[in-house]
Amino acid sequence: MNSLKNLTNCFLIDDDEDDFEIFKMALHEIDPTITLHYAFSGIEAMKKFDADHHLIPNYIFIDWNMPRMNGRQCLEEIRKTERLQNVPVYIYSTSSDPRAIDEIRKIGACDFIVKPSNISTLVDTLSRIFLIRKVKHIEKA
Amino acid sequence: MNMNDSVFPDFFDRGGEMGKLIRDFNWADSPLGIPEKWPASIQTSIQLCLDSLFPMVIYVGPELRIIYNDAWRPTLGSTKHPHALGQPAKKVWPEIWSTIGPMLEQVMESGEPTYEKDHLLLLDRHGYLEETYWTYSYSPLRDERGKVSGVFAVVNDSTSEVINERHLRMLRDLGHEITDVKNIDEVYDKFLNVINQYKQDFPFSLLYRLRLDGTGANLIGSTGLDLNSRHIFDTLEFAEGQLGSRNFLKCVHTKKPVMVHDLRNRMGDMPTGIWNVHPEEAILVPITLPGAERPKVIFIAGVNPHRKLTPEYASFYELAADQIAREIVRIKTFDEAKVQALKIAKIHLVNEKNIRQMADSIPQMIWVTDPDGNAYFHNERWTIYTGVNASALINDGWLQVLHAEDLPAVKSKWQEAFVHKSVFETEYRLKGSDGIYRWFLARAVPALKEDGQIEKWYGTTTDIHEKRKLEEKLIEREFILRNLVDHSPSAITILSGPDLIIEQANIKFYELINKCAEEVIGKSALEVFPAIREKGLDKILFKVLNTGIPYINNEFEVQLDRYGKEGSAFFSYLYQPLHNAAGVIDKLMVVSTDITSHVQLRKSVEESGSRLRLAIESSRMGTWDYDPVHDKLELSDRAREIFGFDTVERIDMMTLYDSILGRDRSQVISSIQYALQLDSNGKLDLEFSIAPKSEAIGKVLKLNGKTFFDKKGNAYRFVGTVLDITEQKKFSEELESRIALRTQELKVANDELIQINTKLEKSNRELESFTYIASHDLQEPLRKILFFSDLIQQKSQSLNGMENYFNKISMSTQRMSDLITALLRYSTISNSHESSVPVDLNMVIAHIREDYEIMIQEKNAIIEFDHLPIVNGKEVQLFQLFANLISNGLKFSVKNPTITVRYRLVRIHDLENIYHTNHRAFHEITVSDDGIGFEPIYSDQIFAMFQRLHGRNEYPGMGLGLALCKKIVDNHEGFIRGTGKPGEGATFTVSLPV
Repeated sequence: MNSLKNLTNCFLIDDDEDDFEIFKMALHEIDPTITLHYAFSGIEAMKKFDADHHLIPNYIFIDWNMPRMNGRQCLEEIRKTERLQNVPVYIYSTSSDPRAIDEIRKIGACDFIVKPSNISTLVDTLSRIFLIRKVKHIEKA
Repeated sequence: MNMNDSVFPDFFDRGGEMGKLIRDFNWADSPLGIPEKWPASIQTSIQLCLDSLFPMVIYVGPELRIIYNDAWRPTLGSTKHPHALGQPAKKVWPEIWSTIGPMLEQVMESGEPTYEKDHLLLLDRHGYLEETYWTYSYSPLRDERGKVSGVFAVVNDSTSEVINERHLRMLRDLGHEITDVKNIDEVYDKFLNVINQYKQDFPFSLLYRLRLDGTGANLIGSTGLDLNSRHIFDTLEFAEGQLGSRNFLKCVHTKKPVMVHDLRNRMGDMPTGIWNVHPEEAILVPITLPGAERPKVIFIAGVNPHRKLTPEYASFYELAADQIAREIVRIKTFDEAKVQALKIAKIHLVNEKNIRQMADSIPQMIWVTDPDGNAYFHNERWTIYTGVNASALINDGWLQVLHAEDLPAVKSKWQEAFVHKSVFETEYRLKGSDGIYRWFLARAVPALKEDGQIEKWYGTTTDIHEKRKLEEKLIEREFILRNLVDHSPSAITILSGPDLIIEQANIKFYELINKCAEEVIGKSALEVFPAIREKGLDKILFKVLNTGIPYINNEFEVQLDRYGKEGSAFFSYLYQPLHNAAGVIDKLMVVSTDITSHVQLRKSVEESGSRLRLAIESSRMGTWDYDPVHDKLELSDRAREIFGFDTVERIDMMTLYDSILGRDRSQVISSIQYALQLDSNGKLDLEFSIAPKSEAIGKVLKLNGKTFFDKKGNAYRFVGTVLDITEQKKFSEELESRIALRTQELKVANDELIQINTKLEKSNRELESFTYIASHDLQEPLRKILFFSDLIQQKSQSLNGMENYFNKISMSTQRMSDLITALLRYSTISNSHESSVPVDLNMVIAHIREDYEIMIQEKNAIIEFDHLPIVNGKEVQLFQLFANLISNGLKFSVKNPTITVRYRLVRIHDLENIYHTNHRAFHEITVSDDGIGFEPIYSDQIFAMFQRLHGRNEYPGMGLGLALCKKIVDNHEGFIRGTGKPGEGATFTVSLPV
């Protein structure tokens, strides 16, 4: 389990610096060894992926509402990059519109995470996500 | 004729003899007055009448005084013209007044035209009541006030056609009935049967057979007579000088027909047949057999009292009687020949030795030959007739008396009988001792031996000279009959067999088809006339051939090449089946009668009617009449007035065109020229403006017209009306301009409304998207306030009694967040483009019960609901709607609440409130609770946004629930209504369209 833990690295794309701080806090609470890559926009994120061909995160989180390249466009760009095609992507947003959930599933996102109003909710949500993935990983192994 | 000298309208200058008579008539002293004062319709029709070659007569005024044209004159016969002119019809025609009087009066009263075809009228025009037939039409003539002031009649005399057709039919019936009858008595019977069906020509008839001893005659049969009447004598005794016997004896002795012209004086009132008058004349026709010294039978017939017994008419009676003679001779000749041949054979069997003696006693020429035909015996009669000794006649000796022309026929007939061992029969001429040849019928029967070989031929030679002569006479008679057929006004042709081979035809037929006999006889009619197939007439012909039911077509239009001209013609057709001797239909008689003149007559009547209608439709109307052939234009006084011409000015088409305003002129000219062409429908309907020189202001005129085309398709007449519609036009133009102005105003107002509406829609959209964006973006900072105050609470070891404040920040922020979420949802619903699907409301309520299960249990609530309908709508929204209503019921309850959901289907006029909607029926769902209720004055306010009736501490909520409900119901084009009473509960009624 420990060895797997080290493998966890996340990539958050969000224009809101506060949310980056919150997200980082939550990850730290779950496991301080988790690496968090960060981009303030979809464009910056794609630059980072282009610059480092060895960068393959375990999870990508994308804010739905971003200026210029929004969450949907960003997701589409990521899916164009071959090595990122199988990386689970979560949409991270204030909106919890049920129709938006259907829509993001269609374009290849795993789920929709509502930005929380307290840290414990976010910790719970993320822990659940990592656990599901890890269990699946173990089953495969 | 100079118009200034006369009171007569100018059209009276035409019309031949009648035109002159009408001009010379002293109209001033007549009740009709001077022609100038007569109604325009009468004047127009007199003009039409005088210009026409069809017989026409006009009955004018209440007394129906007659005015007629040259063509009609023969109708008056020899006794009534010319004094009939201007006389009341009743005086001219007292004998038929009971028939035509009511018809004329009917036309005068009702204005309805009449049409009669081949109508029988007993006219007195040559000093007796004559059987005449007429095809005629009466049409009403109306004056300017629309009152019928006269009757216009077009007439055609069809007497000879009707009577000729009847005579032909009778002779045909006779031929058909008595041919091939086996005995003579039957001939008489059938003859009388046929005669009896033609009572017009045979009011009564008698057949007497003369006794052989010459003492008198016995009655065979009669028609039309009461057998007990004194006129009927079963026997006539010549010696006693019976009544009427003088003419009878004259007929017997002269063997010639005798006409009796003073029948009533001699015999009194004889039977009338179908007529009301007793016959004045009779005819006695002798029926004499060939060679006989006296007639065998006398045929007596009463003559049609309404026809003159002219020689032609007498020959019709003779022709009828001849049919009897012909049949008797036929029956007799063949019977005799048969009997005699048998007699001789018998004699031979009885005693051959006595042959010579017995043969000599027979009043006939007898001969016997050897098997090869060499004559070895001739009886005494041979010598008596030929003057040649019997010895000189043997072998080929008899050939010396045979007519040289008949020898080849004798030889070939003999050869045939010899080969077949059959009866030899031929007709030949033998020279008598006086050197004159007479016709004989020779018959020989072969006598066979036991081995079947011919032993002898026994022959008889019978004098048939008289019979041949009668036959020749009959051929002559046939020729007369043939003539009658040939000169029949109808084309007659006989078609034979299933191939419809043209077997015979009359002259009229060849004329009609413009072909000679050689071109058509023996050919199939289907081949000669391809049109038969094209028009489907072949089926009709075969049907007649198969069913024996005659077919009549009264009016059939054909295109015909007649006298080298293509043209339209009208025919009536009769397809009459003809039976052969065996009674089987194997031929058809086709009788085609050219009724083109009838039809044209009728059309001319129709045409004159339509002209007159046009002329008199309105007194305000002017009429005009243009003759395009002679480029002559006539305008009525009113028309002149309308166009602004004075009454004497000479007007032609150019003058007329000149008066039309420039901008309309070319249009009028081209329309008129088009109406004069056959490919137009000949109708003209124009509106245009004129500038009359006499008047300051222009006028608007309406011109209607109709062109009449001749057979060649050339316009020969163009008539119509003109009406001044200036006032009418002005009024309608004013009306139109007012309407246009009003329409413009409305349009402006409407455009403004559309603009406002567009602006409103736009601002609404902006507002909604503003709400969405605002509420979404407002969430962000709120969430962060919440997040970080939560973080402070968690991270700080001690807040020094500040916990309560953090709590308040947290609660306020949460409330703000909830408000924004509700606002977001509200704006999402307005923006929603979710499509409508059938939604089962029972399922919706079930889901709501699941979702609110905890609350229901807490409140110990009961939810009752009817079976609900499936409605068309947006599922998410409908769920929201009922969830809000039910949760309201739960929320505003006291204790143990019962929430009732009821359903009914209502029609628009059963709704309690009046709404503006296009839907006719609604699902009405009511959600009632027994909670705290509300004051009725708030029943509208409760649906407003952020409207709360209670403090937040009493009942939690955003004040958006019912506003959302209203929005959802609006989205579904439905209605929502709330009623309540404090302390008694609330009821929300949702009406959704079916």
